[in-house]
Amino acid sequence: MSESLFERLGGQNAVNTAVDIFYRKMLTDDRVSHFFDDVDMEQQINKQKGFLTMVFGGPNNYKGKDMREGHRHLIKRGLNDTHVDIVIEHLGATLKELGANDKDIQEVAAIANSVRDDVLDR
Amino acid sequence: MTELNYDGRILHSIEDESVLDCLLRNKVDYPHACRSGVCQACLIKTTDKPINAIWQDGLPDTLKAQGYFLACQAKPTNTLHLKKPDTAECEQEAIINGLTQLNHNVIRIELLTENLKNWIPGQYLNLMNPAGVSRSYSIANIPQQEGYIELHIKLKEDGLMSQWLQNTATVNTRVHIRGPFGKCYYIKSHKPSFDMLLVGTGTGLAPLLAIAKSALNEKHQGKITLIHGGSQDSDIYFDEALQTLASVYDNFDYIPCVLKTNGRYPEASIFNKTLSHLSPNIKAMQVYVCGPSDTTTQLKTKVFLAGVPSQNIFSDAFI
Repeated sequence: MSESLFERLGGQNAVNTAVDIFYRKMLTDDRVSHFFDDVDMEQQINKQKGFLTMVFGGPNNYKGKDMREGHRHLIKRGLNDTHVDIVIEHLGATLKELGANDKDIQEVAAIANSVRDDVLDR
Repeated sequence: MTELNYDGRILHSIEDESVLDCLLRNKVDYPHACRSGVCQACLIKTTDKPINAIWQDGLPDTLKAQGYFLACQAKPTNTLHLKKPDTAECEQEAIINGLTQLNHNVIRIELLTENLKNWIPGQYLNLMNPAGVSRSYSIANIPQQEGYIELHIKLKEDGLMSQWLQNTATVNTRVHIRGPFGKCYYIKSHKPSFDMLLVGTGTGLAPLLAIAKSALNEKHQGKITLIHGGSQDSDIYFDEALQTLASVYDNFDYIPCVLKTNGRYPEASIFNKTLSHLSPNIKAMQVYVCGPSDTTTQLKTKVFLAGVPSQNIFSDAFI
């Protein structure tokens, strides 16, 4: 298969569709929704599009430093490994809804997992 | 470390510092207010390329093409030669033509100015008084048709602009305007049959009024529902004009609501009112949310969770 993961998942259109599904899952999950209190949806959607593009293996401006700084205030509010697991869980469920296969879902999860230490500032 | 050339000085920005922060750290008294890319007060210009699109988000195309960007949003990695905005390029003069009180805390002004077609209903502009005070206000009418720009100004006890307008400004006073900015305006469509929900509190009514007027003017076919909320009855204004509009157009509904009523308007939370007026075709509807950011932030999330796609939710929060 010559197509990249990002292309297989549907490229930018897939990101645009996935972001609404994914963010709704996050906002309705009591285990993580409190991290999004008082957050402006528009800005958050833009950030999440960047995140999804990255984990889908698309062209992105991912910087570990930004991930660290963007989440540091949340670590003070208790962000830990279990929350990263929940993100990966919702990511997988989102992709399943969009019809991705298990192998691709695993690949996305692996990319998401690779930034865990940046997010948790370790 | 990035080099910034400004006013004959060479400044060095430190890691992750915005152009605005770098200027301020170097004791340059650069205009700014919101620091979040909304108010446009920190508009600045460069002749260097490339300019990151994020730095120019929300600017009119004419300003983008001339190298303008927002100092608070820019974290450059290459040397930039910076210039203050050229007044002739981004500002124009306007004359106050009318000044009336709409209710206990809102005044309405009419501005006469040139090139009215550039001032898009629902977008916002920066109003500058002769003392150099600048504040953002939404365009509340269709300037090109009506011959003037209408603004609704919330009166604040400690508000430099609103106090100036109430106590000092008169008809024929000259001001300057810059803009227009923002994403809240009616988007013409080939199939204007989707339903529109316009929700706001206080002077958030201004852009919604303009959007409703332009949609009706463009013969929008879908239903247009405007919900205006307040704390008390006296916060609601323009109700008679809106009720008249609702009786003229079959597809326009006007719904005022207040948190505590003395009997004049229905008592309801704007969140509940909003959720009970979502379109049956929720995926196609458009929602415009305007007003103070504490309410709009919540409203946007609630309509999104109810099923409105994020790309169909439009908002310029007041800050």
